[in-house]
Amino acid sequence: MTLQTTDIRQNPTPDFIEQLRKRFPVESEVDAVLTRKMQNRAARQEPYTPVTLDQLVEGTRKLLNNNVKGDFSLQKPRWLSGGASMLQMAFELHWHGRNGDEERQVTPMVLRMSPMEPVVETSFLREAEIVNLVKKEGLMPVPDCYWIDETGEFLLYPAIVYGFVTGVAKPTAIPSTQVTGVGLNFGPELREKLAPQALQQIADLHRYDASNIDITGFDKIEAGSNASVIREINWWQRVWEEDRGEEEPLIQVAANWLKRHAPVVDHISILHNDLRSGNFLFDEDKAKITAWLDWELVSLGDRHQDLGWLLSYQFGHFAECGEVYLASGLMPTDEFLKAYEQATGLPVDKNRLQYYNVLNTWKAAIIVMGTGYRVCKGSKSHQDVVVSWLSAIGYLVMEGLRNSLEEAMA
Amino acid sequence: MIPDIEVQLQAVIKSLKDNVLPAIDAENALAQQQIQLSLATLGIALEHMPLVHSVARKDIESHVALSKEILERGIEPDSGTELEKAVATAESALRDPALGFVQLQQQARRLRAAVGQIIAFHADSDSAEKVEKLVLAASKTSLDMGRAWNKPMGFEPNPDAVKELATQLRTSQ
Repeated sequence: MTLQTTDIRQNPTPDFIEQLRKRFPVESEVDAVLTRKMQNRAARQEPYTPVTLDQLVEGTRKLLNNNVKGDFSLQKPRWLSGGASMLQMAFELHWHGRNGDEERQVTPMVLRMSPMEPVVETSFLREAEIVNLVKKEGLMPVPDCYWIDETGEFLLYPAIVYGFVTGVAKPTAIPSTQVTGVGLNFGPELREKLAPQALQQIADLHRYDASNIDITGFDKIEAGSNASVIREINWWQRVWEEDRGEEEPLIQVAANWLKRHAPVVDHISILHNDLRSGNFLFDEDKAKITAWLDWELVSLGDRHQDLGWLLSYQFGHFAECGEVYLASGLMPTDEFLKAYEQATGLPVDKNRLQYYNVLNTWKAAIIVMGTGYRVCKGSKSHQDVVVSWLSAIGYLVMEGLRNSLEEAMA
Repeated sequence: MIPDIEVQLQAVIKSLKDNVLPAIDAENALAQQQIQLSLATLGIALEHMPLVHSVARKDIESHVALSKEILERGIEPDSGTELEKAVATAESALRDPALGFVQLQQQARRLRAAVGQIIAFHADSDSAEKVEKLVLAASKTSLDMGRAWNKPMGFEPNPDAVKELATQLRTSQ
């Protein structure tokens, strides 16, 4: 018995990459991003090495040189702590506006750059296109999105530049701890003011008819078909096949079930895909939501996908009375759904919520157990120890998947 | 054998905690978070070390049991193929006390892959539901073990409901 085996996923051949592309057809831009990920993995056998602030400044300057007219200067660069995925640098841009014809002004900005391999490999093109559309249509507050380095041409790896938004993701003063559950607790006063805003903004996002969107990062999608759902499943099944360290038969079972039961989409919505408390900033004094963040997983499809995630157990908690469960720490689930139906004029289908609960849990399992493993295995990020730690939640997520599937298959 | 790997790890943890941690810039949030997670990860790895072989063996056993059910029910598409071979070598591995963790892990992975192929093969066949329900039922053992292994990381909402690894391993013997 030999100890060494070739890990085809760590050293993918062109043939392996091509096979997966054929087995799992996905949207063109998703295909481009995933193919690039695998080609880069094959080409870069070395681990990620730390990037300095100076390197980020230099790369950002090159990106701006390519996009900004007129003179500019990049000042006060500093690290921003972020999640397990991106490197973030805040800076001030002294410039004359996008076209170089305005008064000299100072704009606080944030650069978000992917490490060599992030825990979710996504398209900055899609992210920028949707954030700009959401801003233009006034669907919900989002940061200004300025420029992207789609392939890492200017910076070391792909990156996006946003305007800096003020606000906090959670209250600075810890509210009463007389609640149970792991979700974000705003406390009764803030909750009362933030919940209606969040609901209305989510409703505005989902009500918007995205079937006519004509932007390059997204394939055309039509209501009355489940083709987009199948493509979504293919996307994540492909990620699983590209990244996993070992097979988890349950992941394959879930994929089969999801494909067989893929529901028809009745209305095409913009889906944030990580819609929940913690992913919007708010002004504490005014109790006003200032921006929804973290759009990297954005897609077009069935609103129940976002709703299922938002309402899932891990993001909520019980209210101070100890009896009422607050979805995403905002409001009771039934109350939320009723108000959502009123605000969107679109029905909520409990069967589709159940379906998307399985889909969302399956995706989460793939990210933590598949890609999380692969990032650490190749030593590909600045946060390997964090990613590895977070992977430990995988079996709990898988147990949730098993329970949801058992319920759905009963 | 000297040096003892457990003692080595213990010494590394002590060194990091006593001398490296206090020297890290308190303002460097990334470094502060990573040293804490590194220390915790090392501590958990040290605690798990005596159990790695037993856990790998149990993983193989549970997948052998599932594979045999699949084979006995005639679900395997072409007898004598990968699943049968994977079961045979896995059983041979279980009988060999000399095998190391990596070798055991390879056997478990080969079995898992073979089961995955069967599920994918039957995705649209009449046997799909039969094989999927078998996997669903069998996966409980493997997931329980994974949850117990990762319990020290603190993600379990009700940790007392997850049986300790040692208890689970005793139950299977």
